Amino acid sequence: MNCSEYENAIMDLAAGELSPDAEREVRAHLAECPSCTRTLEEIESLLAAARAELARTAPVGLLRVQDAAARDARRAAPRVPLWAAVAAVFVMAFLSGYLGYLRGRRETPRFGPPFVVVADSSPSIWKMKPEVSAATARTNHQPQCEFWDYRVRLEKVRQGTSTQAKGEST
Amino acid sequence: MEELLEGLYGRHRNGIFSFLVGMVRDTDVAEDLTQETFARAVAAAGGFRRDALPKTWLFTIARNLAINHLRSRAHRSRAPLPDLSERPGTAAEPLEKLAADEAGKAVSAAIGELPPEQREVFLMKVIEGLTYRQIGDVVGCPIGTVQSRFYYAVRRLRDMLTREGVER
Repeated sequence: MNCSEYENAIMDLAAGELSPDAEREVRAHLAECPSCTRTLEEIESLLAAARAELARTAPVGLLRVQDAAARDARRAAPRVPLWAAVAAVFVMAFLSGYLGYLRGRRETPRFGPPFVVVADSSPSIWKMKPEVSAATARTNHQPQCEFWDYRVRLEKVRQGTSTQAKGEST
Repeated sequence: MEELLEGLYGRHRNGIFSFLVGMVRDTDVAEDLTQETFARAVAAAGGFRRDALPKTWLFTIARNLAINHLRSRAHRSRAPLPDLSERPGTAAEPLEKLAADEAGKAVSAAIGELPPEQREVFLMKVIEGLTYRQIGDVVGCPIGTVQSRFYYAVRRLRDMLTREGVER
């Protein structure tokens, strides 16, 4: 056999497909033929490179599987129970509302007994009944209260000591 | 049977996936087909012949799926295998590996240029080390045909890589 006739056998050898007898014969030829030895080395390198390159594709899938596994693990990890989350929201809402209520009470002007400003051209707001006005003040209608306080002070300045502030409705 | 399938999945999932990547040249499609391969294996487990080799059985399913996909694809992309060097986690690889990576990419591209019937034989031989006989069982061809396809594939790859000037 010449070298070209050994080529297929060399590919079979690289592929691990030769019987022991056939392999012995091919290796005997290789021992005497540098060219065929180089051919075998090239084929083995080619197969190894292809194997390595194709094996590199696996981690792409593995990464995705690992990502999915990590995601599953995160999903399976113990979490705050729903009832605790709902309870926390209610507690926060209650505390927020209560603190707001307390602050509103502190900032609400204290006018003592209900009264109205007896002034000319008073807008209709001043003609509310005393109990309504007091209730309005207590419910933290801040702009109204400030306006009211301003009007009271304005009346005092304008009329001096004659500002009429009574504890009853006009 | 369930334990057998679990074992097969653990042992051959990567091999089936790599084979399918080589065949369809699309990692996303290959992943889907890999899942489909094992799903079909589970569905057809009752019909599995005990005398058949599970590995060749799986590769037969995977090959059929790959061929169906290639047939149904409107036009075949000639793109090389995915550039795996750009996948996350490999950006900081040593410079010494770049030459090897380039060679690997050239090999991938060359494999992608092979005709499907040669490519499948080459992939099964290289990835899983199936024998000519086992490959013949998978593709339904005589051993001689498998041998000649393998020879053609190796010769073409050597020629292509020699033209590319890839050092081996």
